[in-house]
Amino acid sequence: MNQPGPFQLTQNGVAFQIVGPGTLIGDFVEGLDGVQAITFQAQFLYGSGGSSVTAYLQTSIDQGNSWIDIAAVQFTTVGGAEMLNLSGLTPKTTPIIPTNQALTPGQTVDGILGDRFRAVVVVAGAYGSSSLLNITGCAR
Amino acid sequence: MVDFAMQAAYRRALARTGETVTVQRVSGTAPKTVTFSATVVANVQAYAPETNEVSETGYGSSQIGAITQSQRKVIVVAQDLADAHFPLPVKKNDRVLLMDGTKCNVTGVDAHKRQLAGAIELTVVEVQ
Repeated sequence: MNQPGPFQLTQNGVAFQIVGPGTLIGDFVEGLDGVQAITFQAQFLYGSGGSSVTAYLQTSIDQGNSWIDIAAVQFTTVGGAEMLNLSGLTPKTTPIIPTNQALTPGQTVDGILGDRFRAVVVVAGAYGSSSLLNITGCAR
Repeated sequence: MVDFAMQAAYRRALARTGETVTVQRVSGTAPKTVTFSATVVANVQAYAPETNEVSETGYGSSQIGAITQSQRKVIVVAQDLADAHFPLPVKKNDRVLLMDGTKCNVTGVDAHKRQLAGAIELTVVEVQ
């Protein structure tokens, strides 16, 4: 594949700053043509307040015209980390209907890896004290 | 637009005279911070001190021509950073770790001067 190795899913070039309620659409990482697998890690550094933070990891097959959820992770009011691994070689012989910011937290869609990735973070409740969500991946 | 022949010349020059540096982006506010790093080859230049003349005084750091002690110039090829998935553009307050362990803070980014070669010129200052 092109350019294997670690990458960070960011918003405006930095990890997701979790503050007020809303939807944070991240920058996309490209140049991952031919990726066979990606291990993702979502690390939540909790400050105070808030209700929930849901991160939708997404890929695109059509050069960014539409985005598809491939994983969703959720944190509440405790810091922590979640990890998952997705393979681009898993056969999908039964067509799936893609979702955008609708995947149930804790679920993944294996076998669908495009050439670019991003995260969309939905924040519920007002977080304080500089809560931070750092999403990184390692492509190979 | 990048002139690939010129970029290749830069890469050859870096292969001969460059050193490995690590460019870092720090996110968050202390103590909740995370760092993303990319290691690339760069040309690191120090400003040579003039030892024969007495130091001139009275110039503010913001004045044109003023050079801060411990300031360095770091030249990197932007595509090398992109290949390492560093979130471009390089910004002020990004960090650069030099090969000898010196930690530097980016105080200036000039992506225009060497744009034809696809290189970025960073002005960095050593931090303790």
